[in-house]
Amino acid sequence: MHTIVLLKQILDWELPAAKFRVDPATNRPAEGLAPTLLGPFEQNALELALKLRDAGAVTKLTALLAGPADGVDALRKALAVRADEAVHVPCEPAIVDPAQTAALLAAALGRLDPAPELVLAGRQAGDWDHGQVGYLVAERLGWPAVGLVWEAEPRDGRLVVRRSGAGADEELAVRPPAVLTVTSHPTLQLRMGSVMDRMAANKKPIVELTPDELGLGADSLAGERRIELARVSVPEVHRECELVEGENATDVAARLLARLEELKLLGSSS
Amino acid sequence: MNALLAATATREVQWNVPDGLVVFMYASMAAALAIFAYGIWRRARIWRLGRPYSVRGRPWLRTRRMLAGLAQVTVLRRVFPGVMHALLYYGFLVLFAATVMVFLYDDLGIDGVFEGDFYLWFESLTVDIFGILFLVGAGIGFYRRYVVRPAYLARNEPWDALLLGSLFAIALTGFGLEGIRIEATADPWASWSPGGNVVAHAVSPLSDGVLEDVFPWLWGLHVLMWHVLLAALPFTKALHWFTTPANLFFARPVAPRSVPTPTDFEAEEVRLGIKNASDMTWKQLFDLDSCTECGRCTSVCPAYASGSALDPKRVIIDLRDAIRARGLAAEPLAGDVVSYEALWACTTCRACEEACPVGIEHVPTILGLRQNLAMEQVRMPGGVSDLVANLEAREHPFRGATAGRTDWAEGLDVPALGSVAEAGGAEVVYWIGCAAAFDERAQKIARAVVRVLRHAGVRFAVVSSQERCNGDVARRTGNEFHYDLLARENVEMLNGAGVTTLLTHCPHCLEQLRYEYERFGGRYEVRHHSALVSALIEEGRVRLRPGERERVTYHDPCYLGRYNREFDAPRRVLDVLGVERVEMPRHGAESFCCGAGGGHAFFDETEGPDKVNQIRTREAAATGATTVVTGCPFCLTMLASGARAVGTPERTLRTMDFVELVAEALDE
Ligand code: SF4
Ligand code: SF4
Repeated sequence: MHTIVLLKQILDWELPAAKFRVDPATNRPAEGLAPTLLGPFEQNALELALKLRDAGAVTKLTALLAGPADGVDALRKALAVRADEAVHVPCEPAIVDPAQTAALLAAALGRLDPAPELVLAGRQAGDWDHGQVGYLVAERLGWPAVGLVWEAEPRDGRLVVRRSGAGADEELAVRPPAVLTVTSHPTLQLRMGSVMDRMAANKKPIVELTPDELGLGADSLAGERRIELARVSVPEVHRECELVEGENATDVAARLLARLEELKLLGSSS
Repeated sequence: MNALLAATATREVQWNVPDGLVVFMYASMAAALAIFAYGIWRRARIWRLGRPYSVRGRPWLRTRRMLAGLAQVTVLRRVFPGVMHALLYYGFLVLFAATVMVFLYDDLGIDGVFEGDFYLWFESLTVDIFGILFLVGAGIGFYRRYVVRPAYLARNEPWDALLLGSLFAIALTGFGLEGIRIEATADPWASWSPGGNVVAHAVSPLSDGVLEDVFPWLWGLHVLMWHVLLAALPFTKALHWFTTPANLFFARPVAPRSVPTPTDFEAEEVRLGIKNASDMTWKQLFDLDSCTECGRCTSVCPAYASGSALDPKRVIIDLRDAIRARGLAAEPLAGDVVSYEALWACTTCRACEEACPVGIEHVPTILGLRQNLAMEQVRMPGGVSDLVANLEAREHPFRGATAGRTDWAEGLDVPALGSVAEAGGAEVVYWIGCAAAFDERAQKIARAVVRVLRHAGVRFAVVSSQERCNGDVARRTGNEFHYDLLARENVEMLNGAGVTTLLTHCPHCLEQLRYEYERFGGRYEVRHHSALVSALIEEGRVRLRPGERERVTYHDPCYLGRYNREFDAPRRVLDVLGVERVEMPRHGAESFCCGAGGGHAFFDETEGPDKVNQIRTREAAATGATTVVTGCPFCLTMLASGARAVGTPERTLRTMDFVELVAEALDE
């Protein structure tokens, strides 16, 4: 089963909110705030693909990314855990509309050899958090999609997947070809590659498929747009700090409680 | 046979030994020497598997160390076992010399060595005294090994008893022979041989005939035992009689200390740490054959003390035995011969190497094996893979840190490197390190350093925003690949900025910047803040208010003390502060690790039931000190968490970097 993992390189999510800045000219995060990294849910998706490969269900593993040049880092990371191939669809600047991203990815998927049978995507990109690309790709391909998956197991030609439902874990079976969006789970922490693999990854070629080659040059891509990004701003958070002091711990606790009640910050017990 | 001259003291050599027995002696000696040579050849074959290792440089220092070893100085650093060993050693040398005299006299015809005063003073009196001391030494050995039984000698091999027993028996039969000869020949110089004389009195009830009958058998036994021992030497730990002096000569005489063999990542075939014997240097293989199994390394090992799986003596012995048994078998040594848990438990504190009397370097071998686990087998604790992932992504090891590299300096308006260089140069270029950048507690150290520098009027600049992790934590967790990347980038940046001298408050940064970057072309004169602050105080540039006379104990960080040999500067500073400075039982070069080294500040999966930092904090608390002072941000963290764990709400040790005490006491 030729399995494709969709990747995205995003701004470091550990950047504290207080340091986040938007460049008003571009409506995007200011440059140089922090490094860009392979997104956390994409790491989970990649790990799930590796687990499926360990289980013998994957014959070829391809990492696919549509995005700016720094995405090559993400693809190299996939090669370092022995993805067989890495495909980059370069687009500058980063695309914000999930529909456009899905159009590029679906077109690229159509070019892969052998024909893909399973696509794994992160549940959402850790930066814009739309959570749509996986499903939009499935729609374009006419495949079933299962979301928020954290485990998958090949059984009798089908994939038995476990996902987080509302308040319960669900087990579903789906017959490939299919798209799974992957959520975070302790078992899905991306493994580290050996140094040998990592050095080999630096020497492997990265296949480039330009939007033009995919028939999605600037004009056609614009035609795929469904959402316009109007403005990005950092919400203003008003912070006040007050130090509650007292004679001893009991006293401090009592004063704190009184103050919280005064501010109506404690829910009533009724 | 030589005539017995009444006037000249001497004795008949090989008295009452039939010619046939003499022939037997030479035959058995030849056989013993042949087996001995074969044994050495077997060992040498293993040494030759090793990679190159240079013993060039510092010949005098090397020779001095070897001579100190030969003179038993290293062994005597521990009194009880040291005295035992020295008695056996000097006793053996003298007894051996006595036997050589017999050869010189009997086979080479050199009369002087067996006649007159020399015969009486040396061959009789001295030899007897040393023989007795030898027996005492062997007795102490038995007592220690089988009565005292310290934990690090717990694993007794049959060989240990045999070796000690045969030494004892050889000496004892020697006295037996001397006694019988004295009694049977009514030796007029008997009183010159006190040991033999005692035996002579003891056997005097027996008739001369019996004595003469027994003597050849006893002689044969004496000779045979010695020859068996000789033949067995290369196959037992007694091999160290020969390997130890050589090993002391071979051991790395200068810094950097205890570093793993550098990896060439550009090579055709990259070696990822020690997979099997051929990945070790011949010196590392030679180390294994030099071990005396004394257990001193284990007795000082913090990982062992905490009850973890690591026992450095076992590491050496198990590797030795496995390599002898399996040669270059394909299975990796790491994780098999030395367990995963043991390899990850090492804090790289160097206490073992400091204690080892024969110059064995455990740490490079442990790190080589760890490299294989980390880089090839990809088997490491979660904390380590997290930290490596963080180094890769963010170039610092503090996962989840919310601070930026320069947050520590908020409001301080410190001049950045570059700007000062342009403005006419700085006296001091201050390297902040990741701890002070990303750890809130450690930020205070950097702020204290800045206060002291400003107070002293030192023109300085900080590297801060341009720093990457120095890579030590990657290197000490076996991730040499990441270390290599970080080190190269830091060197390129520092060299690009024209930096030649640096200041740091972190011993791990110190070790890297001062010694380990040299391989990448980074040559800097680096000072730890203790050296600088102590110098500033001496120059009168720092004025201090007299403070309270609180009781303070100083914890030596391993990478400042054992690695960088700085023991005095922080103590000098404390003494100027006027505190009451008390020492913990383990201090200076014998200091006990805080538990953070070797990456352990970032993971604790392989720790034993006791915690290294708590053991150390209890030791600090037992001095009655109210504050434990150190000179390393990682030690500080470990001691602070130790203090919380072992202290009570009423009495918790305060943990401080010494520079914080200086900053508190500045007379501004
Ligand atoms: S370096 Fe320290 S922790 Fe490691 S084996 Fe030696 S004494 Fe034990
Ligand atoms: S390594 Fe050194 S200290 Fe440890 S047992 Fe061997 S000789 Fe003794």
